[in-house]
Amino acid sequence: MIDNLLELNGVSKHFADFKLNNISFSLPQGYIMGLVGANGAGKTTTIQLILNMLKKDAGDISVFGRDNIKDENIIKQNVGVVFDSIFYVDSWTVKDTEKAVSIFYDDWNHDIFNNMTKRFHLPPGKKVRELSRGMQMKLMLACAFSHNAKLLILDEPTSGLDPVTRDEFLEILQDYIKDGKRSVLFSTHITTDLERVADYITLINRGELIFTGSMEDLLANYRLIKGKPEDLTQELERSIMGLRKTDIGFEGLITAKESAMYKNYVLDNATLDHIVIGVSKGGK
Amino acid sequence: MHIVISNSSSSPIYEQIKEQVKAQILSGELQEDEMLPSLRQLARDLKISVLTTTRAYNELEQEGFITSRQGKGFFVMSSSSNLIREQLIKEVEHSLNNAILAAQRASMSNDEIIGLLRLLLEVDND
Amino acid sequence: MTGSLKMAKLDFFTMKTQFFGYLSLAALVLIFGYTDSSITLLGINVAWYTALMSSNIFAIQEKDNLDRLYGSLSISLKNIIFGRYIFMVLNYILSFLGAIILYSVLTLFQNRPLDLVNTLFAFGTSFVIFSAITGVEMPLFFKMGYTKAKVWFLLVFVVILALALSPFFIPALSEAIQPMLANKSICVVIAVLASCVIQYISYRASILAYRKRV
Repeated sequence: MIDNLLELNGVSKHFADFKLNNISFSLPQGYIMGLVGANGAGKTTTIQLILNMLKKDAGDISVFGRDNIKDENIIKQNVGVVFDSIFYVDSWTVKDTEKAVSIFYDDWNHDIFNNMTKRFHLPPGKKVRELSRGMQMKLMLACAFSHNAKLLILDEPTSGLDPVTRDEFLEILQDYIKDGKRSVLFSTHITTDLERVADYITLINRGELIFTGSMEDLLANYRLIKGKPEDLTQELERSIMGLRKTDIGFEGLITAKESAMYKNYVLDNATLDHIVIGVSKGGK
Repeated sequence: MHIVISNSSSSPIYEQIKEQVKAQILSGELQEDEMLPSLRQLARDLKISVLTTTRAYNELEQEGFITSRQGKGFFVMSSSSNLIREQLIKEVEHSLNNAILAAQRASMSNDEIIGLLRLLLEVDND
Repeated sequence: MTGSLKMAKLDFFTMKTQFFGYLSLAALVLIFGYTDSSITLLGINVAWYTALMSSNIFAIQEKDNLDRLYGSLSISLKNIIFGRYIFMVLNYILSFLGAIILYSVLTLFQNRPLDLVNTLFAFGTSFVIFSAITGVEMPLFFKMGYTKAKVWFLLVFVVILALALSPFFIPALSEAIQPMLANKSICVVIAVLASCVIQYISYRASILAYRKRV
């Protein structure tokens, strides 16, 4: 029986100029879920709500089966977090960082931290501000791995990193879930990172939940439709998201269901990237 | 076990895995009762999602080529090479039937059909 | 260790490279030791100096995105705020103790022994001034972050310091506080109580401020 390590139910948050509305999704044990959407879609807000860094206006969030507010301190003992920029004091050395962070964890494993810093080539005496962006991310990761975290929450961890580091990072994540007991929530707008490795996808656009489920189901839900300019009927135009019209043809994203009406057009498989772009531009 | 995934193939990744496993069972590369890599190890090595490998293995299991043993992993079923062979023979039968139908439409006699078949087999053996 | 104590420990660790600043406090004391200034004035100087130096933790918090670190650790909002208050008060007490010890060592050579009542009076005055400054500044920092609140902080700082030092410059005020000076022990008790009240109110305000901001 697989348990859900993370569950969101009807979560909402209002701001003056933005509203995260009725978000629900579940992440089962042992899998990687990509949280995708354009910049400003609400991914970071969702993560901050999960971590109780922001107070939710409605809904329930449970981590490891516990309420994320009532049992916040218990939960966070086993949650590792990585953000897109370093959140340690920049005058700390790598060693200082361990000293500071380990204060808060009962289960801190010094050996794992050492192994990680060796594996990532992080010199213990080097200051945080002297580390490259990629190494800073690896330091956050090393800390996240060293306290028996069962859930990793990553908010745009690979933005600004070179392809080699990004590739290494994905390998590290796949190793992390190998025992089938730990999960990763990976928020990003770089879809190529997720395309092969993510088991589940939650797609958010402008604060609304567009899709949540397996990657396979998501990809099966959409098609790319292409055709000649004169074949673009008004009805079709209303169904297309992220329409691109030129003199020589048109192209756009359409749901698989609606594509059944247009069998004689060119229908291609849509990649995750196509879907995110189409949904974000289409405003459907 | 060796698996090579092609991104440009029109066949989905889980299909490719299934086909390659079946081919290796037939050729004997994968022995009867041999243990396959775990779902997660395979996903990790191929850099694909766990759900993809899960689907491939689940379908192979449903079709009777591999079996899962609780707590141990997935193993090649003892009769699977025969099963695959049977499946392929059925395919040959189907294709031959189609060929016969086409030959009859072309008004070929049975001897002509057999002669053509012999010729093609010889060419193939070269 | 409770969450708040862990937070205070983290704060000390955060500021560890700033301790050279505190050593300049020692320099101040040295200057005092060789002049004939009152110990009360020394206490006031410890108050404003420590208030100024410790507010740097908010600057580091903002610059290095520490809100996210605090958010990811297993401590509650109250732990974060209370831990910060523990840090500030401990900072002050340690600074005051350090200054007094240095001062008494220096005055020993000059044969001016330390007077307990005067020292306690200096502590009371100093603590209430420190509490007034940080009591107002901390909710502001928690609400607006260091950069935006800095202006307000300086304003508050100058006003309170002016008030505190005014008896030294305005004879009329100096006369008005004479009866206070006659009853130094009572003043100390009132000052310490007032400081605790100020710190508590400030703590509640900070919780509201940080919750709304985060």
